[in-house]
Amino acid sequence: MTQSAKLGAVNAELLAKALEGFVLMYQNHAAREDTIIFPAWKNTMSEEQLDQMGDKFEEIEQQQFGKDGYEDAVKQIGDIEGALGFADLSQFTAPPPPKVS
Amino acid sequence: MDAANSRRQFLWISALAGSGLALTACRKQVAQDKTKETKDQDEEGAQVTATEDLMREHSVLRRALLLYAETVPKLRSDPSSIAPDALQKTAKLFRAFGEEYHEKKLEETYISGDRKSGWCGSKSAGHSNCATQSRTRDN
Repeated sequence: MTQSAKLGAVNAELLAKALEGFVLMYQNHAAREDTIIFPAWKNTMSEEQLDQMGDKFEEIEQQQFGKDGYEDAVKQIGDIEGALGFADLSQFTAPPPPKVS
Repeated sequence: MDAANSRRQFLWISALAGSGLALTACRKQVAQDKTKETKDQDEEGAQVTATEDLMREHSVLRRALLLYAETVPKLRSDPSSIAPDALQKTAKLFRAFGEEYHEKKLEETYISGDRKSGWCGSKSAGHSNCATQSRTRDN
């Protein structure tokens, strides 16, 4: 769908719905993983095991990307935000609430 | 100077010399410990724990999700204002970094895999602990 140069109205609506569902699913999963799953998993390990696991993850990252995959992903998402006009944080800053007299 | 006095003097000088040597050795040890400590801190500073690693990877994915969420109203109001190739790049990043690496190589291998050995069956997790697994099923 995103391979054509421009998105038609029908495709755009289909894509919008798919994105909404995708966002909702991942927001819920990631939030629970960060607050429940990962801390519980961490509690099963000793300091030393956690340290070894960190090294293991680092090794996998190197194998998968041949470099620092995280740094590269951060750069990529920053570039995409720039391309879509979402790089400037001020556009996402809420205005001050109206004064209540 | 009698014998007793010179013996006392000898002991006094020996004690001072001994203390001096001990202090020098201590100072050297402290300096070495400090160097090691600084080195460890540097290494620690550059290192992230496994859980921190997973969470910061989530943050990259969250930025992609924010981008998708911001795109939705634009898709509905003015689809031509959205560059499809930027969305495609986001999807490719999500697949490579989020699904193939973060989920498959890390979460499914080390967390879902560990779950089979029973770690998440404990009530301390306070959750059904099926987040990773059910997302995989949903996909």
